[in-house]
Amino acid sequence: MIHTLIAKDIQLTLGDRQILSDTHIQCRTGSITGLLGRNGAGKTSLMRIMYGDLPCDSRSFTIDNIPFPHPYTQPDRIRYMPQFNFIPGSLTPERICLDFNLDFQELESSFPDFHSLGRQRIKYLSTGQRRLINIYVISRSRSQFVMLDEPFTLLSPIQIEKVRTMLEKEKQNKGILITDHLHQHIWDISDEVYTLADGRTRLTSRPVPHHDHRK
Amino acid sequence: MKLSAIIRLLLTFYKNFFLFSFLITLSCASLYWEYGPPILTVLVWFKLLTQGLTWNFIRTYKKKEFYYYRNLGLRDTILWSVTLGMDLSLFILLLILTHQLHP
Repeated sequence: MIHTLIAKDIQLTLGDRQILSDTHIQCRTGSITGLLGRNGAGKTSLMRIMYGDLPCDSRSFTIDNIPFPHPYTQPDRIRYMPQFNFIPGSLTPERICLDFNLDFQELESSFPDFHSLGRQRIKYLSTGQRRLINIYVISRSRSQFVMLDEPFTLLSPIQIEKVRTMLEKEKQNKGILITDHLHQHIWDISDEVYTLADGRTRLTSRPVPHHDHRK
Repeated sequence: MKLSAIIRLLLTFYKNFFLFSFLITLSCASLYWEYGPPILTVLVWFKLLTQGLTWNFIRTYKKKEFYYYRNLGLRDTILWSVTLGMDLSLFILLLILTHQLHP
């Protein structure tokens, strides 16, 4: 079944500064939607407002035209991976997979980095491994939509390729909203891309590659 | 989510401050053993105050981890009300036991 998420009319003011004023984002099952913007443009704030855990001046968030004032209470609808490690350090990869109803063997076969680390507390894993398990559990678990904030940061090029493959596969079952400073990966993986600047979102087409004609 | 999974998550969260909280409870029980019912009001207020401090500390220093529980469908209010409720029940239980065992 195809689901549609629409976030619009989001307004956020911090002090005298209007962070978000005219935003519209649409995401569908089967597609990856990219969100690009400079540092401080409000990408994370926008995702947190969509998730419902950051108060704002006004907001409209619907899935299949049903409004959700507190989406974070419904993980079957939407899950959010923040840009930092959010998993308690005392938990092991096996336990984390159990909590998210996932099979640890699948994690191990997709990412051999986790071989024999099933019972290791994640605070003892490398930064990349911790990031990887954050991305894996959010994007693989059952949900209509997932939002990933900077998933590629802190990953090695090989890990990035594997995550991209996983997301391409996962989008068959869900809609994915993704933002990262590694723009090339966002352009490559996304079906449509929004840019956020001056508090406004715009649907943007891929920039034409620049050809150097100098001889 | 299954009840067993919810309990498992609540216990994981409670582990963040169980040791500190249990030591406070034990201290209160030993003071109650020493001074008896006249000190009860002070002990209850002391326990509630330390619970408030715990809430503030965890909310500040473990705030990133709340996303883990939210992504699994557990609201912050449920986490706090259940775990602090359990902690307070343990405190009351231990004081009742101390009262009954005291010669």
